Amino acid sequence: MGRNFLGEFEQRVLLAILRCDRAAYPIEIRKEITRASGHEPSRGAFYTTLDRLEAKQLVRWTTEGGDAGRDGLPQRKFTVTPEGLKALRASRKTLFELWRGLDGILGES
Amino acid sequence: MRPPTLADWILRRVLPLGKRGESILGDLREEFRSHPSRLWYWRQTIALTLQYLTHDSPQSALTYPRSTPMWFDLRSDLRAALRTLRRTPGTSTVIVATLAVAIGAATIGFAFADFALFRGLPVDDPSRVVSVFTADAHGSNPRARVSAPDLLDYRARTTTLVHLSGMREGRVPLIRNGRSQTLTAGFVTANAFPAMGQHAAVGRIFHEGEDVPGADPVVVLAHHYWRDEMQSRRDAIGRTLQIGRTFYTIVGVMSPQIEFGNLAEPDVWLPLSLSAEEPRDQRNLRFIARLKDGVSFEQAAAEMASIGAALATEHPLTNGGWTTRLVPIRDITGGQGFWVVIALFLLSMGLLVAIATANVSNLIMVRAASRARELAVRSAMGARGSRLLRQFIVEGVVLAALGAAISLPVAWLGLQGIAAVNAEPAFQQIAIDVHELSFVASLALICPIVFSLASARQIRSPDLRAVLAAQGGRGATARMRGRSALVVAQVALAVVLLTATAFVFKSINYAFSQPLGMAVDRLLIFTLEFNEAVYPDVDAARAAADATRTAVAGLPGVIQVAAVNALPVLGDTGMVAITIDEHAVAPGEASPTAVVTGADANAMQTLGVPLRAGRWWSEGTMMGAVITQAAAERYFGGVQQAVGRTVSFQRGHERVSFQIVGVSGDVANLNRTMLPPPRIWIPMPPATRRFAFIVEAEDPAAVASGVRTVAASVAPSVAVESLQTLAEAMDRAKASDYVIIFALAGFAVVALILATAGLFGVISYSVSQRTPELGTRMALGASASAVVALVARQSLTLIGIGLLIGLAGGVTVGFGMQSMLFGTSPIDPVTLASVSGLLMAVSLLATAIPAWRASRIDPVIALRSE
Repeated sequence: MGRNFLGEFEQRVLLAILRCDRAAYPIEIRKEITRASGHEPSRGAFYTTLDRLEAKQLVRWTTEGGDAGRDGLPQRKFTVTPEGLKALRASRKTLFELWRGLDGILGES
Repeated sequence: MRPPTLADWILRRVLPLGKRGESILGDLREEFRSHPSRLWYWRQTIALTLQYLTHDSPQSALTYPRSTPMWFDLRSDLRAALRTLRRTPGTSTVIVATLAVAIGAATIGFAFADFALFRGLPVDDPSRVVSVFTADAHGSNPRARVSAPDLLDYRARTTTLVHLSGMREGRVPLIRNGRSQTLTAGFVTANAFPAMGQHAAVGRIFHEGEDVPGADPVVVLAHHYWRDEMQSRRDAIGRTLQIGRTFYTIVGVMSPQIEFGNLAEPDVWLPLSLSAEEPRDQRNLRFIARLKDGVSFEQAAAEMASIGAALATEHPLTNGGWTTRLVPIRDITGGQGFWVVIALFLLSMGLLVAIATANVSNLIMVRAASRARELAVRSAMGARGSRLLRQFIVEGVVLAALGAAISLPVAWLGLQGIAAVNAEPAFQQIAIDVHELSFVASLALICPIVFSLASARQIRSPDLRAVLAAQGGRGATARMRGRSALVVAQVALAVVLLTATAFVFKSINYAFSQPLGMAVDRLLIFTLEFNEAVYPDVDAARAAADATRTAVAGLPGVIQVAAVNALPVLGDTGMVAITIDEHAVAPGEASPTAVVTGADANAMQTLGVPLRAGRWWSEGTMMGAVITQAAAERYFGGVQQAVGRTVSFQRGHERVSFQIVGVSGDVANLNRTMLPPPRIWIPMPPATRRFAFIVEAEDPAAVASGVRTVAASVAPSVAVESLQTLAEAMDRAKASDYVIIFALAGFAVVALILATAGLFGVISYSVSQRTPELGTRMALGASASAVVALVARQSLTLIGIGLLIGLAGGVTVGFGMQSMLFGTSPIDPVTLASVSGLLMAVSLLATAIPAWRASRIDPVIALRSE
């Protein structure tokens, strides 16, 4: 199986899951992305990205029964798979490599 | 706060199946607690819906590349849809034809409603424009116009209206190269166009001060006249037209927008000067005004009513008993039945589209059922529900688009047909344009969504194993229930439409089955106007009329000839206030009114109007009159009591009185739904210039060309108007009422066919599903007739429920349209029974074939498949 390239939004989702103690409910993940980026990602894009990450086997989920606040509807808890960690590392490596030496141009002034 | 039910319903259809989708919905619900806003919920729903309908994720990522652009998906959906259509040509054809007919019929209804509601009125800001109906206390004339002196008094006294204007129609002689040609003229006060908010297309409208006696004569051309007679030449402005003996300068051309209904008729517009000297009971002006800024309709209505009441006290002889009623301008565009007709059209249109959609839903559900295996296989291979749903919608849109495309020629043909049978200008103006196209387009988009969602439950049926394991399509009872409900709805809707149509049909038939009061066969009519331009002396005009009469009477085949100044029924003028035996009416009481018709002494024999008492007046008498039975009974208490009494009324500036020498039979009202009006026949007034000739002949059509030759030789400069047999003229007058019934009947027939087809589909499908069961029953000894009864019972239950709901709806509609029901009532048992009978007969036909097929099931074959 070839290497998984991550889109930027996919990276954000994976990182947000990790930041929530490596296991997170979608609502928390979305909140974390909102906090870090300053704007709320589209609900549709968010869920289809989770589905896509799952299809690439970078995340997996388990369900828990829902409480009254969810009208009894189940909720999913996401974890990043070892594959997912690997993809993130690879991505970080590539990005660091590309960023290096550009502080003169891109450094925060 | 509860989340919007509809949004949830949509989400449940769009989101992935199972825990995946449920958890997304759960997240949304949970967050809704902290965002209790329905708007927010809807925004999230739309975001999710768009995403999940346009993007395929995980499972389908296995079968489709992730980055597939949406248009590629759509293209493959389209290809799949076309493949399905080709594979089931029979069903597809039926669906497309159903939609084409229903959308086409709906478009015709919409075109009428659109014309009447949205573009009809040639008036700017119509909610501020008002008119006035005056009415006498007898109620025989509830929509009378106003007189010039009354209008001047309104102008002087009102504080709530502006641009109080008057308008009437007339005919004027255009003299060109020494020949006279009759034009239709609209006489308007200078402020009439501003009151309507109408502008000139070229040049200008009338200035204030051009509508007073002595002003320079000016004329504004109607757009159609300018286009047809002046080839739209701009240099027409400033030229002159000779009308009568006066030369009028052309100052402008009206905008074509004003050509609506009756306002389409004038060829030229001429200034109308109002004179306080005119008799107050000559109510011949249409009144148009605008509400002053900040004034409500109710305020203005109250003020006009009180001005009317004041005038009734001040002028008891002419205004006593008359009331003045302010009405919104819309009310004058059509008769009282007009809006009911429009409402009926809209209702039929809605019902028809609903029935067609139900029917198509049914067919699609049948097809979906037979495709259950295909769908299950695709699901099992990883196609997501939303993707299948999308494909269903694309299929639906393709079907609807085909239907809509074919519906346009259907609608166009329908409108051409209506315009062909009815010469009324309004019907000629109804056309298909961008309004109708967008209506059709939105139907083509809405219908498939409805019928695709109807079968959505089926697509999303998660129990793939059951479908795949089952050999046939058994165990489909829930599905059957849905389809049965659709059939009940269709039957009910069709019954509503049939009932409404039956009511209208009965009413119109009743109106036209009332006696006309005169003989129509064997009569030829034509009109000559000996205008003062060609015949400055009125005696010369009279002599020319006499000469025409004599010459026509001498034509071979002609039995007798007579003239009247206005044809009863077809050309009646308004009611005139009359005085009986010179007794002034008590103050506050309404003066009697009657239609006054000037006639030759032999006119009543020629028209075939029977004599009830007394005699006709003899030739040469000027002061004898014959009144109709209705007038005699209403004003004299009986036919016998009237003879020998006198009636008098105002004619121009003088009062004329007549001795009643006889009583005739009644002649119908122009509006056939009203009672025959009281009528007084008097000898032709000496100042008459317009003569409607009535020619009795064995074969009236055959003498027409002879009449034309004679008229041309006797009065070469006078145009022969409306030469036709009386029967033709009557048929034409009838046609406008019958066009409504034809259109409604058309809707009803289409509805009945669709509902029957739906019923047939459901019953035969159910028989095919129950083949093993029926086979078992027969093997166990059930007779063929028992099986037929079984199928018939199922069908009758559906029909029965539909019929009951439909009749209740029909009676409700009947009460809604009571103002146009005559000779029948919303609970008329005959109408309701015949509608039920018709429906039963047609539906039994639809049941007979499947029932017969069921009775022919061979138990051996049926059981072998078990």
